[in-house]
Amino acid sequence: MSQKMFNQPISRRDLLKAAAGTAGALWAAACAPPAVAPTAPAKPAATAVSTPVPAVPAGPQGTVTLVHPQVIQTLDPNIGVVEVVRSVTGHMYDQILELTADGKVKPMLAESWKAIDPLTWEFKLRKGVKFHDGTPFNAEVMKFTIERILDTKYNSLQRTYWVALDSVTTPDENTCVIKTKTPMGTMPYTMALTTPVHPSVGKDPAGFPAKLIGTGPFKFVEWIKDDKIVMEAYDGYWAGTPKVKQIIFRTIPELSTRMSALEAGEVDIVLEVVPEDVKRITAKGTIDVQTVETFRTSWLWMNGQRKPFSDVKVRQAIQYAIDLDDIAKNIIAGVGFKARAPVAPKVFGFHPSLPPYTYDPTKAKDLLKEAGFPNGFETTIVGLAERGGYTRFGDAGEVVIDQLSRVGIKAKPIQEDPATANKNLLELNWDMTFAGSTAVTGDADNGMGRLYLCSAKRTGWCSDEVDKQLMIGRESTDQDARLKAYMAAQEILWREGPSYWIYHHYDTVAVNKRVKGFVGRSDRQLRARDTSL
Amino acid sequence: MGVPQLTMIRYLARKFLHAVLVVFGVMTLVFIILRLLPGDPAYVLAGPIATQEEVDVVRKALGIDRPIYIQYAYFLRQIATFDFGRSIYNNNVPALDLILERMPATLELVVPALILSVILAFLIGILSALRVGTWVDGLMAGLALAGQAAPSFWIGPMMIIVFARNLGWLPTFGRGGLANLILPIVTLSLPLFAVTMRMVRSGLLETMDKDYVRTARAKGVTEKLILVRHVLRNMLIPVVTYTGLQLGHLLSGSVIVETVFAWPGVGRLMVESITNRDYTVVQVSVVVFASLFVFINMIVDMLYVVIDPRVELA
Repeated sequence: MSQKMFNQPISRRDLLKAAAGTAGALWAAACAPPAVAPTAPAKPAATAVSTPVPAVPAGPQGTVTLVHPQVIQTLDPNIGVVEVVRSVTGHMYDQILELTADGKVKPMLAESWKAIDPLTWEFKLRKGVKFHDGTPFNAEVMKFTIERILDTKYNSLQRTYWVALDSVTTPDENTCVIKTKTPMGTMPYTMALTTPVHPSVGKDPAGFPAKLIGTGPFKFVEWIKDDKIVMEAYDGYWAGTPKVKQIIFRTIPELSTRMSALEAGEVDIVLEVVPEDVKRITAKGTIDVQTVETFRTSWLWMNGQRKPFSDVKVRQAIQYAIDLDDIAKNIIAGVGFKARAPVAPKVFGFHPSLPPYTYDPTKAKDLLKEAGFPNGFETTIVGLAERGGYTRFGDAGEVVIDQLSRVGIKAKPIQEDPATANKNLLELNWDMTFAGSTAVTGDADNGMGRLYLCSAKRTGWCSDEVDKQLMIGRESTDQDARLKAYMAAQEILWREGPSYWIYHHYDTVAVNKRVKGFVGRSDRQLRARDTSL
Repeated sequence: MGVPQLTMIRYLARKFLHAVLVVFGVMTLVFIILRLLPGDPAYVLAGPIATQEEVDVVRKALGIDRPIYIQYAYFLRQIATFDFGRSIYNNNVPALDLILERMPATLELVVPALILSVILAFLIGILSALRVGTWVDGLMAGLALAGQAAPSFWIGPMMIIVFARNLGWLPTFGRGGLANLILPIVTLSLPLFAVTMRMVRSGLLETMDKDYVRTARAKGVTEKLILVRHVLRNMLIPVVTYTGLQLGHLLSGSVIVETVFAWPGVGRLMVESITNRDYTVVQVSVVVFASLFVFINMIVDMLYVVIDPRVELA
């Protein structure tokens, strides 16, 4: 503000005029139709329906906009297992093998695979696959991709899936042979995570976003951080050109904004719809909500390293003291269902017939008495941060605390921010904790091997017998033997009760009905590769 | 001319030195506070399903396995060379780049919000003061109260529901054209408008009772001239001070507005970085914000001289 302004006389009328002008301009702007259409056309449903559907579609058409609540930090498909990153890159890249929506493994970039012997796997690769810039995909690229994941400088979290690897060789252009030091029964599921990247990408993750060249059905167009990622159909895709011309991923962290954007028709597909919203958003008939069983399970762990949870009787008492029906009915309805095992039913290795612990407070009290706690004890519970929304640990925690108090266990809730909570969790610095995990590969080795092995040091409880079974599960290349081993491991976990399994999660995905062919996935990825408008 | 110019240069030089010291102090404080906070970025980065080995690998890669004084020495070296380090969480991208690439989005909200709220605050504040005690004044007082009382995390979603979802006039979220700006800017400017408007109003009323105003009236100066020459200039200092400080608060207010409207700005980045213990990004954003704060205060100090000739550069 300059001095001049204050020296010029301003009349009251001028002031009022200016005020009216500003208000009027604002009003006009507010009333005007959006100057720039946000992402999708403003009334997509109407235009899509009114356009006559040609008998032979003339190439890819229209835009599908997906929303993920998570922020995208990287678009490097092999550095971690974050759902949103896999969702986005799943459109631009293919995997060696494909994990289907309900968790089965089938051919993708590899047409066939087999275990020649327990330590040797052979993958026959699809011929004629090209990256978006024309570079051919071959066995060398596959070798490069795996070696990149293993490079310590690159620091990939997927490295742990490959601890058994010995060597990768390429006898010819379309054959890749993988030797392991110990048998690796998880190989097919690991290959469903392994995403061949363009041979020109280096091993420095910082340089990655500049080189988003994949073999998938969509080509990278632009990435505006924290805002959107745009991709367009690749006409040279080996499985045929996609039907949709453009795929856009948007980041909307706030739940109510996500829902409003969906209802306003600005976006098409939204993850993590809460049950309270379902009735409203489906009322108009333009939006469908899909409920999908996922690979995710949540539980209440008891730290078996600490007293009194080192006593199996105390752990079992807690199993009997919690009324899971109550939680299932009042807390998790719509976001999950009663858990019966440490991994979800869709995960390979799930035990379908473990008898659930019945709600029996009297038996719980008896067990506590036998363990030497006739009047119960005091303890703490962590991990209760989220209320409402997706995990609902906060809400479930209140019910659990109340139910435990009825058998004399006074559990005090402790709130921690994520960084502190993660540290304490991994250092076993807790009595009881709510936690959950998605078996990202759809295999019990990911859901159980990582958590219940003694070497994992995660629950504070472990046993040689469980370790033995989990190692058979990890190493055997005979899928039936693996299944048997996981059954045995789960039976022991059930008996010993170090973990109170609470619920297997659903994913609720809202889809605008103009999008056809979208299928929600158990691994919690959003994939619109095969959709049409 | 030589002496006042020299005074000005000396004044500016001293202010600048002050500013540098303040920013350095803030940086050191933030460095210490971040490391005193419980929680460990390695655990966040490795994720909740990581093993101890994975965490150790990450911690070593980040250099946070070293003693804190060594980390501080590295930190000082980084500052001296203007290399502010790389983001722990964003794949080693330089932290300053992360902030600078999001800065335009934040300024796109903050600057218009500041201008809009100040202009409206003056217009309506003056109107209220001139019409003191009437229904106009009452209505505006009510508006100001509502603007101050209603938090932006409530106003924002309400605006979205009314203007975007139900009426369909404006987009619900995201950065894009002019239409995308309206809801977030209005949400952001409302609290600042409310307070500034009340300050303008009470400042005017207070000044209008002063002796020199009465003298001016006695001399026969018109009401218009009294308002502009005598009243407005004399009540400006507190308003300018407050508005300068508010720019800082607008920046922090943008944290909520950016989250509600899915706006890709610095505020959201900062919150995520604090939750993730992304030390470098938090440090750099604090440096940027602190520098902005200090810079604005310098401007405010200099404005005093322009507004009130009695204030001297000392």
